[in-house]
Amino acid sequence: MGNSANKAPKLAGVVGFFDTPDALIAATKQIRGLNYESFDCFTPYPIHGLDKIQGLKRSPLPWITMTAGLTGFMCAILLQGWTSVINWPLNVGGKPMWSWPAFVPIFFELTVLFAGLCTVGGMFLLNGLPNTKKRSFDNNITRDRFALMIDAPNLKTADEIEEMDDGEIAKYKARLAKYKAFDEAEAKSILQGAGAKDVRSVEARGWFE
Amino acid sequence: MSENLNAGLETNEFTPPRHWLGAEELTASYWNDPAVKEKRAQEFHDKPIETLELIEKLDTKGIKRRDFLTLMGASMAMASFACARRPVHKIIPYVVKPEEVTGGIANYYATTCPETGYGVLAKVREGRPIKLEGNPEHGMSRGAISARVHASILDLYDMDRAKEPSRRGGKALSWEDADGEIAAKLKQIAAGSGRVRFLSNRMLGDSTLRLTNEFLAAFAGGAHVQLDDFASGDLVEGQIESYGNAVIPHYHFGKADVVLSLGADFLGNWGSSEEYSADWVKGGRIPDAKNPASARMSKLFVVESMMSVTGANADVRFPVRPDGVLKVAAAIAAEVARKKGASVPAQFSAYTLDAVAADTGVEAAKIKEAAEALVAAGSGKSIVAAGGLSSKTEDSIGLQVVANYLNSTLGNEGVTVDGNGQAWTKVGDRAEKVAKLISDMNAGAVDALVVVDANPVYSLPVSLGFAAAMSKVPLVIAIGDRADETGSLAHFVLPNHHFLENWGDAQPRGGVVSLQQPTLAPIHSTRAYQDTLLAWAKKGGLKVKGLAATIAASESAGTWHDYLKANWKETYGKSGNFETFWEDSLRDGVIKSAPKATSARSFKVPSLAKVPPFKPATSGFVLATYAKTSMGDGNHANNPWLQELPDPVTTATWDNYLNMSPKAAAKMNVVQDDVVTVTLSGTTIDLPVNIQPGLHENVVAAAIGYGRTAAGKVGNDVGRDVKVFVNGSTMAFSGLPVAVAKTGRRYQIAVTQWHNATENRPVLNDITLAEYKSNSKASLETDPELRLEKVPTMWPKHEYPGYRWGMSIDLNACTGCGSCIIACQSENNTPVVGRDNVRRSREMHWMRIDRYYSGSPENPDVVFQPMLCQHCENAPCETVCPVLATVHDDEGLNAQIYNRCVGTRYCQNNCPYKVRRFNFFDHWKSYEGSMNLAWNPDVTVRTRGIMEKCTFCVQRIRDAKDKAKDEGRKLRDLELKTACQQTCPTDAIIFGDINDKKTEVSKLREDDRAFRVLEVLNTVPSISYLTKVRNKVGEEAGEGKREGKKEGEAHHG
Amino acid sequence: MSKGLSVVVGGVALLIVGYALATVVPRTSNQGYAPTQPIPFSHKIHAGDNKIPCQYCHSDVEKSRHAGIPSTAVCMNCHKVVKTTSPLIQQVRKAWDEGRAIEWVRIHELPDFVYFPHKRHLAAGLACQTCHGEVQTMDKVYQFGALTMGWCMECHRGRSTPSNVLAGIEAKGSPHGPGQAAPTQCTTCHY
Repeated sequence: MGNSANKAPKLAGVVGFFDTPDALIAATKQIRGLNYESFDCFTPYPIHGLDKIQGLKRSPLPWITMTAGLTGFMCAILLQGWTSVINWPLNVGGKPMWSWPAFVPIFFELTVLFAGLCTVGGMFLLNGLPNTKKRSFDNNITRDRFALMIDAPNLKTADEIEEMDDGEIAKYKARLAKYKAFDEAEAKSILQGAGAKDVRSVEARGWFE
Repeated sequence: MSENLNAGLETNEFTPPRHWLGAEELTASYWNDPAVKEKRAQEFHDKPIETLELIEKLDTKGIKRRDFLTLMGASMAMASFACARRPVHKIIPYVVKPEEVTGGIANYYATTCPETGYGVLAKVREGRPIKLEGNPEHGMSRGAISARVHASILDLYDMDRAKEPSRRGGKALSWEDADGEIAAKLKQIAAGSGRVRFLSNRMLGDSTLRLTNEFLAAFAGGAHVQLDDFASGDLVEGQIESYGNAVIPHYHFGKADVVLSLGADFLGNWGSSEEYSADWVKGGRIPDAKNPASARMSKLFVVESMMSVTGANADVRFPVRPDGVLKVAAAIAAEVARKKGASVPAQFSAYTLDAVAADTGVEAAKIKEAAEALVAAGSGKSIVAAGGLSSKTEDSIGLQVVANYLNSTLGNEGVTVDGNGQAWTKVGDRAEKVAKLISDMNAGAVDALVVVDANPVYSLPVSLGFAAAMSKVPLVIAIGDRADETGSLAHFVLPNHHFLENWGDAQPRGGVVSLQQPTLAPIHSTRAYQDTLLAWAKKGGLKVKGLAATIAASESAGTWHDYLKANWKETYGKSGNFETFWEDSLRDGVIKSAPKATSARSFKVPSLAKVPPFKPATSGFVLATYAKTSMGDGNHANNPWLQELPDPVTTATWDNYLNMSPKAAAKMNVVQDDVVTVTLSGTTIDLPVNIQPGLHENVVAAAIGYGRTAAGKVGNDVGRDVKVFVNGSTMAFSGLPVAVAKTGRRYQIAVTQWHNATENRPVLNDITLAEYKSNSKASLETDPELRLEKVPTMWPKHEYPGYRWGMSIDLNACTGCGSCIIACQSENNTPVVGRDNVRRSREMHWMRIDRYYSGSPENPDVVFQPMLCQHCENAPCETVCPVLATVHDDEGLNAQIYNRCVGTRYCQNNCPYKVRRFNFFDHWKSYEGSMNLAWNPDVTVRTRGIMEKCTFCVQRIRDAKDKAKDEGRKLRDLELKTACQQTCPTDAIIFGDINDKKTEVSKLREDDRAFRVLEVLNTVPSISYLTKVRNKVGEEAGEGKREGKKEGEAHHG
Repeated sequence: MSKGLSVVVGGVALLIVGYALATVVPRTSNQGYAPTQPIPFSHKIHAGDNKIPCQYCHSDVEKSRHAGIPSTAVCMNCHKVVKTTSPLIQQVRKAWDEGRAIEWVRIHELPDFVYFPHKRHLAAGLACQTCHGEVQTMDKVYQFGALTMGWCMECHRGRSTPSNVLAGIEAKGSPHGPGQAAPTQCTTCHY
């Protein structure tokens, strides 16, 4: 973590605010075409089609849900099967030991329980929560502002480059070469050109800074 | 066409149920009444309880809920501080362990109940008796005892017993002081005119009688008066009149093909009922299963005014007024004489069939049928038994004479009616003797009165004025178990041992000799009556005679035990080694004594003069009194088990009531539980009304034995004493003309029958003998839609290797006596809940006897069905328990695990037989002090919040299997008996291993009469019932095949 | 302090507190209960050094559910002459002379709803020490076994059954389920 008292605040990126979702969409298309390493859109409510335009991949959360659900189902089978059939079989009302109709509610319940809890947990993890590293740059994002932020890439300092070996330097250079180079002023002007009304730089700040 | 199709659908014809609990079930309006629907649907009365019963007491006063919770809250808070440390429990061994006592193992001691003469085995655990069983060796018990004898163990532990001698007013004194005072007074009296009177109930023990007589010989004017037991009616009087000997004949009910009972409740409360029940059922009531076509059954005709257990078991019943019993009897006698070609005695000539039929309401043809049956049975193949309170009118001796005439004419005398071989010689004294005692007392001609184990102030009718006469006696000593109505007026109350604490013997009738021995050391400072006599003799230097003198004089062998042994040596042990003989006799409890041979006594024709001339019946209500099987004469009113035992016929607990026929009630516009006043010659009492089908329209009946004032906490102020109406000069207990008037008040009688109403599902069936003979499976073919056809199962059944317990109950054998209920209560620590809780359907009996009527309310047929946990293979209760407190074990028992139960009560809801009982309160706390000694240590005592039910006596199963395992063998058939089976006199209940096809129970389950209750529900019960077959002919009321009905019609409401 | 460290420290603190609480809160079993008896009878001296068999005193164990505590008469069988001068024996003597029973403090106690038959377990071949521990080494008797249902079930299911007992059961052909040493029906013990 750096000591914020010693260093100057690092640049996180450049953000432009738009008035309308349509403007944001248009800007997104444009910025996407420019092939920056990373950029993101911020909206108070989900905007139809923005994901695709932004080029976001489908979330892996449903896989988590399914896996968890199946795990829950298996746990239910194992729990009831082991207790009622193997460990402590009891003749209740002439019913067989493996009386699956009676087990159905637990099957359902554990499936749903595991699936539900893991979905929530998974969502948090995938969202990068809990997160104390990044602070929101504007409180009104969730109210009424539409924004597009172009992130400043995570550049290594000269000291760090010296410590890297050639392979790593090559990888680093390859990574940088893939995307458009980021320049603060250029990015700002691009955003303005795209129709942003308010453009500014954003510092990288954590919660406690 | 369309009309035909719709015909059946439009008219929703009401078909009354074939078996009903009360006459209202026969009306459509009852089933459509929304209040009734609600009540029947709401089985468990979930309305909030405004007054909670105090847990410690059995009375009906409660405390308000808020206070209760406050109290509970406080005690909980205090209790929680105590839970930090484990409480210290002690384990205390003997100082010297008796060698025959092993902790955890019961010893059985044979003794005798001196009141009834029945031999019992007392199960003694760690020095105290906890259960009584019948002594299988005893000629009368044969292993069975009545509900009253069973319950007497609780009297032993009753906290209201007198614990030490006391003076009038209750002041205690020591035995030495009491002896000193009394002996001195007796010495004085002996020196003077010596007019000492002893008053007791009939004593059945020769040794006690001998001692009493020898003691009284010291007094010039000494006499012993024994009160007869009222239940037999004027039986002995009749015997004296007709045959000249004062006996109660022994009846061989097993040898009779036809029995005519004239008010005699021989299956319930008259004479030696258990013996009679066993003989009667086993002798001719079980139709032969192997040859149904030639099955034979005896026939029972009952003429009575109040429906009794015997009347409920009758094949043909005549409900009449109390005076009608004699009229019908006389008409039958006249017919019998005619048929036998003998001259009809003049006294019977007025009792023609038509006259009697018109007067009593019984059809002439039926009376004739009874007479024909008696004659057709053959000489010496019938019995005519007469007596009982409900027929004890002022002409009751005449009734006895008619019965005697019939027996003699039919050749029964000396064959089925034994008046000299095995007859009861121990009978009470005649009424004149009692009257003389009272007049002597009034005249001041009695110096001392000793009342022994009797309560004449209560048990004699008030009009005799016993209390007033007794007050004139300068020295009154009451020797009994408590300061009851008589004791509280006596100068001294000297507590007697309970029979389980005392020595004694009993020779009630010819051929039966049994011993009584103590089963525990006396709990309180009581002393045997017989020891009291010896102590007085010694201290007062009284000149007693004979053996008493020898024993009283002896220093080392001067107790009652010594006297008894000496008497036995003289009487039975003259030859051989007496000590061995004595030990053997104590062990067996009985000695074999060959009864004298019986011979027919000759009937004294002049006795016919006692038959009264024909008196037409008066209009208006007549009162019949009767004694309940549970209460008897009220001697044991403080016994909560007996108070809560549902009467077999009315199924009511606690309280007596005025039974009234449905017709009379409708006329008077009176319904169940209305309080009415009953008035006769200025005496009035009020009683709630119980609608009783099967009563003559003009008869109202009420039970004696209630209204006690000094019985104890449980028995005081329960019901009303109806003996206030008995006329002292005629001693007529029934036939009393009374006026009945409404008061407008209501009093809920705690009746149990309605608590488990069956939603009109047929749970039993009854057929006639003719139907059985033509098709032994007849009972199974009615209601075909309610019989279980092959049902597809989703899964295979569980296997039950090893033992598999099942039971069979024969409805032909069950007379409804209720012994099994008390036996189960005693064995399984079932608590008593009190009147209020019974009203709320919360009675705790694991076993109940359901009573169903069929036919017309004026003269219904009755079937008794013992209902207990059916131990269903597919138990509906097990499936719904959220904590699996009830599961099936591998021997077929439905187990109830008390410590797991959390009190959800879903199982009780789901049980279709409604046999599960829930502990709403800590009922065990109502057992105070010494009553806690009555608990069976082999069965958990349940606390509040726990469900319980019949367990097939699993503790007995466990013990029996243990024993068999020790001996390395399997259990034999009938080696293991459940408590109910063991005490049933008629062997109606048979329990055993149904995996073994050779056991008794397996054979009975294959019987053609066998069915299971509610089997259409596919619960697969382990108990099968054998259909009741009645020896009745023709399409009489109550007969007829049940029409196959659509299921929709069968369920009303 | 870094966040991760504070989490670890917090967790450890919680564990310490929990453990402390667990020691104070009474457990469900009375294992280890060793109350003081009115007369400090030493099984070590009697059963250990003098090798008196258990069943000499606890004689009911073969016949009944309960093993029983010996009556004072059993003590006096020997102590009429043995060590009569010892003050502890004299306490026993005093109780004997006064006809007063000695009120021992009960250690092994099962709840009222459990029915445990000593007789059956003896017949199965179990030694007293299996459940009661090495009593012959105890000066002051303490409860060795947990006497909880789970503890009983361990043996009934064959898991902790002594091998000699298991051999005997298997030789006879166990009537119970496979692998079981004893019945595990609820009604075996709870009625």
